[in-house]
Amino acid sequence: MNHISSQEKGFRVVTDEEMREVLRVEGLTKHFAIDKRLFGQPRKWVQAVDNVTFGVRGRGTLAIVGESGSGKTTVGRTIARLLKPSSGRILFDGNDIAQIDERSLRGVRKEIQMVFQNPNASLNPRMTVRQLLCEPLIVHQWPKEEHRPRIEELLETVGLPHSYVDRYPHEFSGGQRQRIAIARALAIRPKVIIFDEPVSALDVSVQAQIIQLLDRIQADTGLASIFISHDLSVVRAISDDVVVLYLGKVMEAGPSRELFGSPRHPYTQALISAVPKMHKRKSQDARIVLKGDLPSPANPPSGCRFRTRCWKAQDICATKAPELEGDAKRHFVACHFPN
Amino acid sequence: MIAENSPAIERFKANKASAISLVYLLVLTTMALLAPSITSGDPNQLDLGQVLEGFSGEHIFGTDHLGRDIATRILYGTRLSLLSGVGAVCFGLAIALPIGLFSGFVGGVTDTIVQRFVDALFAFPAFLMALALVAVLGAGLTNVIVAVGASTVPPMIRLVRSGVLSVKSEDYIENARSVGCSSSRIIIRHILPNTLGPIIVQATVYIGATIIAAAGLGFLGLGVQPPAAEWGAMLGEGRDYIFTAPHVLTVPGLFIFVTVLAFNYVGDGLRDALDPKTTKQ
Repeated sequence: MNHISSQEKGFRVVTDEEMREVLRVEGLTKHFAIDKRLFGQPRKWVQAVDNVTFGVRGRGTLAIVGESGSGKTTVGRTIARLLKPSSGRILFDGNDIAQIDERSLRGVRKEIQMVFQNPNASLNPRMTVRQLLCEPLIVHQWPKEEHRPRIEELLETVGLPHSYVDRYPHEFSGGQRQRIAIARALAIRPKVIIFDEPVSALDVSVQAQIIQLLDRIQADTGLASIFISHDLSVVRAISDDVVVLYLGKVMEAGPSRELFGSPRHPYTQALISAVPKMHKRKSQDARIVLKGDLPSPANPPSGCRFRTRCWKAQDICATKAPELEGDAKRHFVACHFPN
Repeated sequence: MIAENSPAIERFKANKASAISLVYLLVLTTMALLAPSITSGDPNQLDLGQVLEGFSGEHIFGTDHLGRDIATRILYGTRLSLLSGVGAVCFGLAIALPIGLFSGFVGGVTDTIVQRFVDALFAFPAFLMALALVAVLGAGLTNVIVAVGASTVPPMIRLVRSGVLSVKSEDYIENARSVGCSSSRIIIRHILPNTLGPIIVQATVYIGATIIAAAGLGFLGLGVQPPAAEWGAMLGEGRDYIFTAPHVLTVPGLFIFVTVLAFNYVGDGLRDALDPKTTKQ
């Protein structure tokens, strides 16, 4: 069900305009203090995101995948500047928005919007659909007479009847609520939308509908998106590029077809093999089951962060962190023993 | 905020004590407002020929030590007692709401400083604080409202702040930020409407407490000055006759008791109605 568009995407001709990056993240790092004290500097830090670099192509979808705790949500929130990065650059339209102040951010917020994981929590329960959709227009000073037509247009885009405008979020199902959240993010015609696990809180049947909706919206509006997910079958269906995160570090990155076709990092291989399949597996792609849990991000393993769960780990993995190295197909991998 | 026939209203109605209390308070308020049309009597009309009379057709609650009709005085006293109770809570809220919203929203060092200051205020018992303020400001209705209202400020700040903290981390606040809302818009449009429920509940319960505090000041002679009819003052004036004519003291005492109880019941009912998640023990 999730493979609706992967085929078409695979054969689509990539134009120069699409290759141009609208958003580029360079060396993004975010750490949180975990022993907050009233006075003085904190001494313990969690490296939630460590030196992450990637680019989002125009009209493209970049997926960030990883387990919970991998830092993928932090990456999304940092790009949306809900969090201030500790270091690194976020280049948008040629400007670095990583450290700009709240006032200058308003212009950026017009262009980068976000859709959250849980639509039951991300819509103000005391606002009607009309108020929810109107708010971005008011905040960004759209002329008043354009509000009503824009709301009608948005509801049509996300497939909700116009008669619902005066209802409150609790009167809708999860899928409908996520449609409202998507309409709200689309309202001011942003250039980039960050989807933070937009379907993981929804039923599988509803997931497919929302994915289809996102695909259609992207085709119609030419918007670039960052799609954060742990669900590889969904990612495979909609992404053009993929970044695999583990404990805040990029393990592997590259075009979706490359990465799914020939994954090079053991972690990526394990993730892909964990996706349920309809048909019996051939012996060579036997399921890889990772042992153990994600180590604590407060105390990550030395060297390669994945080594504690890696079946290929050697001595060098404990002493030296592998660099992210790419090939001609823009396929990057950080591993001492890649496939 | 609540639509007609919403489940909240149904739940409130289902709570008998709260529903009866609300009716009682509405009747009391209406009678207080319409006092001059209900009774032709003057609450301060002396009749020294008829002092400390018991209940009768002419004086349904009897007369006090100066021969004044107690029923009429209760009726006019309702105005003062309700006004000082409601007024004090409104005054308290007017101060506590902005401080609590600001402190909770900004957080960090500012919040810590504000809260330590509130801690210091908490060290004074509320009534003692009101007493001290009246001593400084002087007696009179306005000063009673200010003094009693100010004594509700510390707990109200805490209440508002805790509401802000619980809402502040919700996804829809993050969402509002990502849309580009300013801080003031987030506070007014997103945080305030979602914290108002518990604030209204607590404010209703506080009206009961402030009526008692205002009556207490009246009883001590520090409230509204005589000859004005005020429940607490009537109680105070009647205490010399507690054995010879107990009704002089009992009637205003009962009205204070029942009215405060009614506000508490309405507050409880509102809480249950607005937040169905809190189960009754």
